[in-house]
Amino acid sequence: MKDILTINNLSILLRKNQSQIVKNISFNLEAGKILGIIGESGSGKTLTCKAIMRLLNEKKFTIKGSIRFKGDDLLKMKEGQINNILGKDISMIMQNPMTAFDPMMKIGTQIVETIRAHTRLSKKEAYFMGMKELKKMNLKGVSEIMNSYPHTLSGGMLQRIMISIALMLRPSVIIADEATTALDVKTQSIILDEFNKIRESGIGLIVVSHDFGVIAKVADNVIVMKDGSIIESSSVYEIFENPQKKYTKELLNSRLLIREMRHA
Amino acid sequence: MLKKIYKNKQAMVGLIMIFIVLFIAVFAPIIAINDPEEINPMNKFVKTSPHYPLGADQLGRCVFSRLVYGARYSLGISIPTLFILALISISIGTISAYLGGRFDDIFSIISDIFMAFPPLIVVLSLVGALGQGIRNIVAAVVFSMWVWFAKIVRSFVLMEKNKEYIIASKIAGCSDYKIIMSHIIPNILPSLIVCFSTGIAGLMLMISGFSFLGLGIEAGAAEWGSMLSSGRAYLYSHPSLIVYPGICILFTAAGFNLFGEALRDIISPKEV
Amino acid sequence: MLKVKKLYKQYIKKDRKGKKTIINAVDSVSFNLEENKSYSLVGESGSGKSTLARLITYIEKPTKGKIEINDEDLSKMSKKILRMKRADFQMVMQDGQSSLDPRIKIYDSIAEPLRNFKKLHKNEEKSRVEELMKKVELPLELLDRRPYELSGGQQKRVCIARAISVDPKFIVFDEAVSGLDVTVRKKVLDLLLKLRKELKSSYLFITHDIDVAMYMSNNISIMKSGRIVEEIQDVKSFNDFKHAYSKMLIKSLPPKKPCREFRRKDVNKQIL
Repeated sequence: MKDILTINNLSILLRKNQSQIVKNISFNLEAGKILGIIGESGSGKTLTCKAIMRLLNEKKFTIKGSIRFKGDDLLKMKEGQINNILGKDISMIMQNPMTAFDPMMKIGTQIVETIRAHTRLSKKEAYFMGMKELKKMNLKGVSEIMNSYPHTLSGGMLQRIMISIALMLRPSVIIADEATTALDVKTQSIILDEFNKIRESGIGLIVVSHDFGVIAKVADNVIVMKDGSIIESSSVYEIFENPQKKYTKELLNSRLLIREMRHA
Repeated sequence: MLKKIYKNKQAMVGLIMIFIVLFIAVFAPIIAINDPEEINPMNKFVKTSPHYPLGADQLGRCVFSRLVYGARYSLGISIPTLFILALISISIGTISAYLGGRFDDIFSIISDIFMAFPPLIVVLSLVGALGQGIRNIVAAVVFSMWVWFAKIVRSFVLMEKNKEYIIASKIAGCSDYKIIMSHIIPNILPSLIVCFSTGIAGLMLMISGFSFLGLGIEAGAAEWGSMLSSGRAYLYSHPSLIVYPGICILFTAAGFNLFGEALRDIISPKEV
Repeated sequence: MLKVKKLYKQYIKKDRKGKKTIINAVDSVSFNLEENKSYSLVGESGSGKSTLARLITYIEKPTKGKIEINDEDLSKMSKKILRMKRADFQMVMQDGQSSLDPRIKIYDSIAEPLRNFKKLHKNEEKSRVEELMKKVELPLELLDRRPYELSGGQQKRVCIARAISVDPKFIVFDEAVSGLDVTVRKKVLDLLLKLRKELKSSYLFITHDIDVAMYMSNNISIMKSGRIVEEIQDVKSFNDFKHAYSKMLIKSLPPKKPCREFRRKDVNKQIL
C-alpha cells in the first residue's frame, strides 16, 4: 500500500540545553492502516504527535529530520500552506476532550465553525452536515447535542463528537493521542470499534496509547517507544507473539498479569 | 517566587519605585529642606533656587518639602487602609466561601447591596456624616471597598476548597480551622498579594482624589491630591504647581501597578 | 465491621423550564464489609461509585440511609468525634498530584495525619515517616521534595503512605490506579496487595476496570446508575458473572491478543 506519512530521522531537542527528547526516529504510515505507538509517559510519543501537527513552540524546541505528507515535507512548508493541510488533511484527537472544546460555545456552533474554516459551505449547510456526521457516530439525540454546551455532555460523548469533527473534513491521516485513556471500558470499546471502521474507509490512523489492549484491538503495526527512541517495531501479531526486547515483554506482562496470575 | 521577582525586570522596576517613595516617606524630615507648613508671603511663587529646589506655592511654602511630606500622607493612609481591608475581606470572604450554605447566601445578599452603590457615593455621604479627618476617610474607604475585595477572596477560596487535596486533608483528620489556616490561605496567598498590590495603587488614587475634592484631609495639608486642588487656581500662571504633585501621584501609582502586574505574570502558569 | 444500609444520595436537577427532578446518584445501596478482607466495586463513570466513596468516608452526607462502623452510626457522631474516627477509615483518591498540597513538602504531607491523630514526639514522628517511606518503597531523599517534582507513581505511593500511616481499619481506593502507566500500575497494585497482608485492614477498591477489580479481590460488586446490580463472592473467572450489564462490561475489555476475526467481522456487524 501507499505511504501517506513518512517520518525520517525525526529528532526533537530542547533549545534550552540541547537535550534530545526524541531521538532520531523514523516510521511510516500507510493508507487504510492503523499504526500503534506504545510507550509510557515521558517516552516522547506525545511530542512526536505534536511535531507532526506542528504544535510545538519553535522557540523552545528544535526539530530535525523530515515529516513527509504525500511527499511534501511538513517541516519545510510555509505558514499558509501548512494551515491548509493541518486540521483538514491531518487531524488530531486529543486525550482530554473537555479542554479541546470552547466551554462558552455551543457544540453546534463549534462544529459549524470548524467546517466553515475549511470548506465553502453556508452556515445552514454546515449545520446539516454536522448533524449528519454526528448521527453516523451512533450518537443519540443529535439535535439536542448540537444545542448543548460542552460541560453538559459526558467525556465519552465529547470524544465521539471530536472524532466526528475530525472525520467531517475527510482527512487522510488522523492522529489519536491517548484518545481513550480517560474513558471507561465501554466507551473505549465503542471508540476503538469506530477506529476500526475509519480504517476501512482508507484513512491512515496513528493511535498512541500506553495500553497494549488498545493496541491489540486496533493496530496493524506497532512501534514501541522508550526514552525518545523506537526500540522495537513490527506487525502487531509479531509483537504479541514474539516480543524481541525485554522492555516490550515487561509492558506486555504488566497488562496480562492482571488477568491471568491474580491470587497466585 | 522571590528568585523570580528578582529576575523579572518589570517587578524590579516597580519595586525600586516603591522603595524610593517609601524611603522618601520615612526620611522626610531629613530630605525636606524647609518646613512644609511654613508660610512665607514674601516668597510667594519664587522660582527654583537652592533654598527652594522646586520653587514655592501661592503661600510661599516650599513645594519640594511639601511633596516629600506628601509621600507620608499617601503611603501612610493607603497602606494601613489596605491592611484593614485585607484583614476584613480575607476573614469574611474565607469564612463565607468555606462554610457555604446559608452563611454564604447572606454574604451574597449583603455584598450585592453594597456593590449597588459606587464607592464614591458611599464615601461622600459617610465623610459628610462623620466629618473631616484622616481616621474618618480611612473608615469610609474601608466601609465602601471591603465587599469588592471580600468577593475576590471568596472566589479564590471557592476554587481552592474544591480541590482534591482539601478532601484528602479532611480525611487525614485536619479540622476546618487547620484546613483554612495551613492549606487554603497559604495556597491562595500569592494570588491575594497580587490582587492587593494592584489594589493599593487604586486606593492611593482614590484617597488623593478625595483630598482633591476637599474630602477627608483638611485643606492646606501637604497631600498630593490637595496640592493639586489648590494649584488648580494657578493653572495658567504657574503650571508647575500641579505638574509636580501629578508626577508624584503617577510615579507611586505606577510603581505599585507595575509590581502588581509583574507578580501576576509570575504566579500565573505559563504555557509550555 | 462497616455496615451500609439503604444508602441514598439525591440531587435535585432543574431543567430549562425550571421543572425539578430528583436524581439518585446512589440508590438504595446496602452492603457489609468484614474485617481484613478486600472488596472491589466496578462501575462506569457516572455510575455513582465516586459519590459512594465520598459517602462512606463521610465527606458528603447521605440523603437517607445509615453507615455504621463497628455498630456506631456515623451520622450521630459529633463533628469532633467523627474527625478522630477518621483514622479508622481512610481514602486514596484518583489523582495523586492534586491530592497533595502543592506547597507542602512530602515529609509534612505524610506527617500530617500522624500529627492530627497521634501525638508523637518529633523523633518518633521522623522515624515513623521514614518507616512509611520504606513500606511504600520510596527513597528517603524524596522527603524534601514537593509533589510536582515526583512522578505519578511516586505521588500515588505518598498518598498510600498517608492513608496507611494511622493504621486504618479500612481504606477506600477511589480509582486509585487509573491514569498510571501500565507498568507503574502493576507495581502499585502489587504493593497494595503486599501491604494488606501486613496491615490486616480491609480494602474497598473502586474502579472502572473489571480486570483491576479481579486482580485486587474476589468479592466483586457491579454498580450501574447508582444501584448495585450484581454482587459475587469468590469470583474465579469472568464466567461467574451472570448479570447482562456485567457481561457487557467484560465484553468491552480490550482483547488480550490481536485477532483478525474480532476486528473485521464483529466490527462490521456492530456498526452497519
